[in-house]
Amino acid sequence: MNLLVHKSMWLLIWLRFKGWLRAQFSGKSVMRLVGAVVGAVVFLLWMLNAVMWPVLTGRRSSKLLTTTPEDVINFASLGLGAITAMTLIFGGGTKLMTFRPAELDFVVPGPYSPRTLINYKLLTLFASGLFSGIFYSIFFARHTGHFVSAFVAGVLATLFATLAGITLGLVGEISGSRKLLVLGVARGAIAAGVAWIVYRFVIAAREAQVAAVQAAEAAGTDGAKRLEAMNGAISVRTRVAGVMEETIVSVLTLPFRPFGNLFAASTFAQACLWASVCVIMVVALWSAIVFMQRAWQEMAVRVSEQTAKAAEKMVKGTRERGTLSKRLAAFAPQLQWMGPTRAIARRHLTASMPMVIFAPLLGAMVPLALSYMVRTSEDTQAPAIIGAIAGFGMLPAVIFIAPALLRMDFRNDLDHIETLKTLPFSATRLVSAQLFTPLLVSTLMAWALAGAAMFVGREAILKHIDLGVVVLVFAAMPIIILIVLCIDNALFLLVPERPMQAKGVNVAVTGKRVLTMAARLLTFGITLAPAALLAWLVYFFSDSLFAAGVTALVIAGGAAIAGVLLVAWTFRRFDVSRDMPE
Amino acid sequence: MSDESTAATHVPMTSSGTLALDVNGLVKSYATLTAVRGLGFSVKPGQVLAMVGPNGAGKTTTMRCIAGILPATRGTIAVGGFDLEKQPVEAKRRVAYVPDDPKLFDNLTVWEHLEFIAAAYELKQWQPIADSWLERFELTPKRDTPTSELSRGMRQKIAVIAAYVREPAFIMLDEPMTGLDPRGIRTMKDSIRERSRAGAGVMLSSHLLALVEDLCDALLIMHKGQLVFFGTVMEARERFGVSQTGDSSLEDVFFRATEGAANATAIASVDVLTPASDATNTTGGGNA
Repeated sequence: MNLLVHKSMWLLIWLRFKGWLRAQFSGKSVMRLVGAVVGAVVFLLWMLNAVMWPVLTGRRSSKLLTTTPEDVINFASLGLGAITAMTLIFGGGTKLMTFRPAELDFVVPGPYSPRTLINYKLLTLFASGLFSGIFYSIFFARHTGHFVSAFVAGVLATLFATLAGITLGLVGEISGSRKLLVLGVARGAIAAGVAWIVYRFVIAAREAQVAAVQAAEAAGTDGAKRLEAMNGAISVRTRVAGVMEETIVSVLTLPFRPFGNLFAASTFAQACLWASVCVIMVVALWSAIVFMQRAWQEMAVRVSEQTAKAAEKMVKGTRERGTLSKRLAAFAPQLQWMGPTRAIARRHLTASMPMVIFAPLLGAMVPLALSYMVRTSEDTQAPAIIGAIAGFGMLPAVIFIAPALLRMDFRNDLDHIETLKTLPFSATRLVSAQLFTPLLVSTLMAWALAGAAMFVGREAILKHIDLGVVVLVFAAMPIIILIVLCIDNALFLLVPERPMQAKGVNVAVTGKRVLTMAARLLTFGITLAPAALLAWLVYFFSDSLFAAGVTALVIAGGAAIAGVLLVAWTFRRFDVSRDMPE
Repeated sequence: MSDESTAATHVPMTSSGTLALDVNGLVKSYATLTAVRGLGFSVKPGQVLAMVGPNGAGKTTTMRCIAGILPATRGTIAVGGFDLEKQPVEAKRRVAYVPDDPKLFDNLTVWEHLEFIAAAYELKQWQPIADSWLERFELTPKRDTPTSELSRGMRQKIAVIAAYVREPAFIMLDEPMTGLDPRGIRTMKDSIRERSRAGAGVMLSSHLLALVEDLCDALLIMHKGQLVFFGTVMEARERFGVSQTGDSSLEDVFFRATEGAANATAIASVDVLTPASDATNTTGGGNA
């Protein structure tokens, strides 16, 4: 194998793996050790579940999970096609072939030929493909033909998608001044192909929907029979197979079918045949990349540096502002009423203006679009009710998940806490200003979603619920969001973590996140329990939903204020000299 | 001091008479920018060359081209007599590059880094040399510590040791004193002198002009990707000094040279870009 890469590169790969293992269980702190143990347990449980499921239940015993080899081929081809298309369109492949900063300083200047460097990089990609192979083979164990063929298919499919992305990037690179034209044409063609397939699936979905409604109407009034009739009429597999058989779609997905066949292969002969085809495709791309080695090194170094800078920014929580963001920042309100702390709030707000504007629009679109899309006959309220249910159904997710994802507060300021501590504001005022933007964005999103749901289902909703209660629901949203934000920020200040890990996959961090999530849910439940209990008591004695709602609102409001004070306390006790997560 | 003698007595891999580095007509262009424009200079074995210039002058790009990280757009680079384009492995075997902010493999220990370097450059009997450098840079207690747990200065020292342990014919140090404490700076200066005495060509880039005066016998001034001056420090004083007696500070020289270069760029003066003397410019290159 020394012909492929220098023996020192094998040593480096081994040393890095050894170092990674060592880092997983290096007990620098109790929290880290606990996190490592929990992370390992969670991983083992997942593995056990995925592996044992087919054994305990018998492969494909569940009716819902029954898949034929043709289904596997279709879905795997589509999935890999989608991944490859995304990689090619958004240039993901070029990012995957980048060198890590240490490799740029120690490996690239090393006594290696460009060909050896390429092989080393592709070998590391192959190594990461092994992990993908394990993941795919375990995760889809109940559907694929055989564990081994699924593993090989996973490895080769991951490598194929990546190599295709790198090859396209290199073709652009050697095109010189015509780079943008070449890449634009190639990516445009791929996007057109994807759009065509999506269009065919939308048409198929629409046909399925009409068939389902007709089948439901024909089935009478029995709910179970209607559901069964609708399920039969929709028949996802038949419709997917129908689309895949269309000439254009089958041609577009042809390069991915060997991988699909390998996933589905259940005999040794089949596996060998399809594995050979897949290997030939991967080796062809590998050879093309080696052929373009000069362009490769230029691009690899440049993209590596860009990726390293972007990763550093993400780790530190600083975002690169786009043109739209910079333009919209001018429209951010001045927040004069906040006094001197407005600078803190505006810092996050100006950076989040696209979110402030587009997140509510996005929220409102769900119920509106759903109510429109499912409109099949004139004399039914079903579309409106479906839209309203979907809107209100998504509300808890928005209220609970949006604040966790937005991270426009202390969670994005780990490297700035020292500076924040020097500012001449009380901790409470500072915390209020820090939480302002995520509270605003999340509330606008929740209100837009609930407002749209209310709009499309107004007749049905107001028939059963008083307007006063509806108003209370809307008033409760910012309060609950503030509680969630307070819990998240207090936990973060107690046990800080980075939004993205600088050092890749880490069992200890995964375990720590599982623990944090559990603590988050538990704290949320405990915080709102008194409000729910008292509201229930009020409702029990007064039989008034409105009175119960007001009670809950008042108590939850108190909890939110206590939450702000709690965050202020955790901020005051935050020791900036502690070991920060990297 | 036995450690020092162990570290200093090894002879770098270059035969006598061969230039440690020879750069001719180096051009490095990006899509919208030409970072280095026709650079030519050379470094003899045992010579310490300082590369100075304002930020964005193209110093680091030049070093990275010589290290083989960035392919040159045009021009030739030879290290220890080996052409970097035609014989990349032999050329890169003879050059060591220490960037201004070296990045190490976080999960690897100090010793594992050196182990990898030894395997990459196929070094024999490298352990005593590595141990002596670790001792001199006061890193022996950190030998088995993952580099993620080390300070910026310590990481800098490890990158330098990784370069020295190979005893290359030509060493490039980009801002070598950044992050070092006073003792580290003294050790670094001593080590550069030792490598030079042992016959290695050394090129360092620094904004610390006092360091340049202290360590270097040749000077290369760059401005906007072009060579402004290449010669001895004395020749630089004579050409750009404000004092008639040739005792101007290097700071004065630097400012006059780079301001002059700005004017020279405007009028495309060839004179300013001509190497100062054949004594230092042995190849006769250097025309921008």
